[in-house]
Amino acid sequence: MKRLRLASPAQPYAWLADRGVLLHVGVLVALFLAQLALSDYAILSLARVMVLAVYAVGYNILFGYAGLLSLGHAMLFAAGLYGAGLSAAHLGLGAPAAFLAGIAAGFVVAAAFGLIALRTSGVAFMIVTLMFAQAGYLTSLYFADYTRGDEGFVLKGEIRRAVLPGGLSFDLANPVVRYNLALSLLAVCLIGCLALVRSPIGRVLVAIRENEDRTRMLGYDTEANKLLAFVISGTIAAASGAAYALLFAYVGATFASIQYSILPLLWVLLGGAGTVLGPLVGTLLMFYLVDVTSGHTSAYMLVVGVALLVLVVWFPKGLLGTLRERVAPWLP
Amino acid sequence: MAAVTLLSTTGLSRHFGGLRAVDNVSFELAQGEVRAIIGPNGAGKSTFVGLICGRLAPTAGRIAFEGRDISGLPAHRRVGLGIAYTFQITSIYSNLTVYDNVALAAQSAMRSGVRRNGVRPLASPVAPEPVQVDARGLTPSSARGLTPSLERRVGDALDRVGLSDRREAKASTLSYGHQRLLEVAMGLALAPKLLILDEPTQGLSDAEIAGFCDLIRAIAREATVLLIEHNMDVVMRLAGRITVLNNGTILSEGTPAEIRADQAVQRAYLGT
Repeated sequence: MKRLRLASPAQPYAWLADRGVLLHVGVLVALFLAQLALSDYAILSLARVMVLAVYAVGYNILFGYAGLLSLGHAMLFAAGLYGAGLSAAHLGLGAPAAFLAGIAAGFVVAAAFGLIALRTSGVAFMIVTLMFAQAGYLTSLYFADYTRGDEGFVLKGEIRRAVLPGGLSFDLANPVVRYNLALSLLAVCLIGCLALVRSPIGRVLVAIRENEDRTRMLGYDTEANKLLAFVISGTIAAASGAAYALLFAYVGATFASIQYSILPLLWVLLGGAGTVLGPLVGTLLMFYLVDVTSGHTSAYMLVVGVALLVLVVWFPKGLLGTLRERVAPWLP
Repeated sequence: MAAVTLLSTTGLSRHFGGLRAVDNVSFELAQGEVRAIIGPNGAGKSTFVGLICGRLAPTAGRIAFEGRDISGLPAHRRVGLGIAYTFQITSIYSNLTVYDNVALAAQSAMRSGVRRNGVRPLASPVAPEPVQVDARGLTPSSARGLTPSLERRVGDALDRVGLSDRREAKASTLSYGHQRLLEVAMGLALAPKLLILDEPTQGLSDAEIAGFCDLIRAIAREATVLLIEHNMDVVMRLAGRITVLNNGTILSEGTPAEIRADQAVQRAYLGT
């Protein structure tokens, strides 16, 4: 059963809600400790998974909580990716400034994109977001002089060293540094998402997902709340894109393509839409599913497909969504 | 009744293509009244209240609430001013608990209460945004200052409709009659000045209807009630005044006794 956790009816149960926070902190601590035990390869791939999981966390806010299915989030991921990558490569910004530029680009694009796309709903919303993202993808190809199109470009030299205002500096090419920066971003986004979905705004988003008309007639400005969800979601997606560009030093148009709009949807569905940890679980699972099976067979997409079918049949609400329904209703 | 006018419409019309669903209706509702709107099917009753609560935009005419022109306000702003609407077809959050359904209404009321009166609702703390109600549950000590007021509003609303023992039930598991009561509880939690009920007793058993009438009478002590109703027993028992709509216009208006005796009303219902 979905629980909004509006003011827990009885205070003695407050510790149950605590369990939700403990779980999230526990997962983050486990990810932190994991780097002590894992191989270099695993550290590299897990860093990548965590950055992509941030993308999924952002996607989930719009899709899982507000109930809006966007097929155009690649545009927002790419806004962050190019916002950071281009400003680093062409404007000579340092890594921290480029990261902020990516987030700012995502925020602006999400606000403009959301204002237009949210005039539609349902299937029309899916189509409009899809078309916008395609236009974004073609734009990244059109300006190939700067973006180098499909081929993309690699960030090299000074930009691989992030110097913070305090003089503190990080070597972004160092796998351990990269891992911990990715983990920090994930931690901020996960905890932020948890706080959001438990706030009054989060409850209104769920209310919109469950019954938009009723929500409007309870006095909520559903349009404004949907736009807010879109902008938060898009900005987090852009933060993920910006981090991806800076940590893995590659910026290419593939990340703006339709594939990168579908992937976060799959990750979120797999892990559990409308659960805070679901996007992380889904991204992790999908990544390792591909990683492990592709080591054994060239038909790995077939294995992935079968795995997805099994999940749809046995876990229709995603892993954590089904878990919440059956055994752990306290799961946020 | 030397009453204050709560709601009035002037020349209110809504046309759907060639159909004049509501046509040039001028209507006044006094504060504290229980008013029933009756009329044959297709008379424009639901369209009329749809215009009042803002779900539909008028083709022409004005609507004033507490002397203020609200014709151009979107529906959610009108709810904030104190106009609550319960749907003709039950509209609740099926997947959420009874408690959460009502709490969403209470959260809205507490927020608009601040906006409406420029004061914080009872028992709210000094937080800049008084609706930052616990919900987290995880910080009960800091949240406790706020929680009681939301908690109390929800508890009150559920007590009044008699659903307190079902608060943890998923709304979709309630019986139809209970779902209708839940809708009324949501309306109550909004602490409205005007409660619009669109055919509330439709589909209820006789026993449920009797309980419902008691409930409406109790609500009427604090809020003005505008009731669309087909069940004449209910109308005669509850309404102080009745407005009869026919073909989108007001056919007649008066006390239940006057309406009962009205020839034109009888013709409209029975055909000539």
